[in-house]
Amino acid sequence: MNENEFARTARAWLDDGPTRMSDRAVLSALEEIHVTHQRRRPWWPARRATPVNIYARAAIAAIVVVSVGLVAINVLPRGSDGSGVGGQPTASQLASASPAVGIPELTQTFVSPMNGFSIGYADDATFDPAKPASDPSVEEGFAGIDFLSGPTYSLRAASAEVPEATSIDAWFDRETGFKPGDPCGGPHGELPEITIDGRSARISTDCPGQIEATVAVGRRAYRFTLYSEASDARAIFDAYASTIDLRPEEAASPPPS
Amino acid sequence: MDLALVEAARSGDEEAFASIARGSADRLFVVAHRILRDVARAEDAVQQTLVTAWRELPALRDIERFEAWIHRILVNVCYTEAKRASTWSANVVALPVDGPATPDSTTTIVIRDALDRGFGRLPTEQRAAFVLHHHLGWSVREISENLGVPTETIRSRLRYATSTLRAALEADARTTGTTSRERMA
Repeated sequence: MNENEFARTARAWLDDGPTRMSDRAVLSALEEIHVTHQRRRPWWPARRATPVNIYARAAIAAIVVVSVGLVAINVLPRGSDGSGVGGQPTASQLASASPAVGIPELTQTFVSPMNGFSIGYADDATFDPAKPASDPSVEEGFAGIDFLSGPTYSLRAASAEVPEATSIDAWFDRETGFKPGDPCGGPHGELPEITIDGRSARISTDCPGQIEATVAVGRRAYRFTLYSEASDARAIFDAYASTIDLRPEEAASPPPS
Repeated sequence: MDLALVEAARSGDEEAFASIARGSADRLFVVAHRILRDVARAEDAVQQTLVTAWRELPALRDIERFEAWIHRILVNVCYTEAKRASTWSANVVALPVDGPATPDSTTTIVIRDALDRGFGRLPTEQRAAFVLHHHLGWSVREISENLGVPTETIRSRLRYATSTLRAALEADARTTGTTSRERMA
């Protein structure tokens, strides 16, 4: 048997045999696919709280102690000599009794090099700009995310193009890993609305230690997530959110996949 | 392959992937069956391949390579399946009762049996290379690129597979010849 005859014989032998997979087996595969999440490059963080480090916890504790002290000093009745019980607090004393503890003053501006937005930030916070996946200094899975570290909070931001075939709500649900019955978050289309840069956005505050807003401009989807265990986390988030300027045309535009 | 479907599936469209799965299942099954020579294990392999493909699809950068990519997954799953069952059991392929009569069906059965036995002795890697080459018609280079294995390794696997199967055929031919001569005597 020469080479050609052997190849022909082998081909005929291989062609012989069952050619159809059973419908039951195909159905079973589809059922398993239905309950299987696609593995996505975590171009932004999953819905889980980032633990606040020990220094941040200490800072929160210190702020609480100082706040309580200030309230005690200014609100408790004083004596007529001004040193103790009795008397009423002055207007200035009342003002200083409720300081905007933890609400940052956002005097700096950060312009994302990849994600197509700018945002204000506080003097005592630092931004680590998003880097492409090709950058060797990027930790695996964290390419394309802008990181901000503040004293009692951190913020991550990223954006991506939503494919034409997918609805914005469905895309956000998939990217945030939402599944019906998930106690953390909700279907994107049913989350409470807020406004970011004049556009309708959605906000999720159900996940412990985390506040997240999502907004789309055309097909570009943005996600801003604040991690904080501070009692005024929502106020911090709102302060940041009010400074966001969405500039999709400036995005470096690498889709997440 | 409809690239629009692949693109949609890569973006998370489960329906699009279901269409791909339905359209690919039989083709993948044939390859898996020829490698594993077992219907149930071939079906398991295809199921596992489809689930893995769905899960990992967002990582596929070039959707035009989908076919090669999913076959690579399939072959890897077949390796695992083959390892799971340490012994290989050949399926008995029933001849079609009403099928066309071949001029020399005895020879066909003999050759088939010889190939079945020879194939059963091959390691899965050699079987896969042989199936991809002779059944899908992939060149050595295509197999090498699609499986991510050096060309020389694929060439070597094909060489070993071919010589094992040829040896099985020749051994059978000798036996058959002897039997025929014995009968003639």
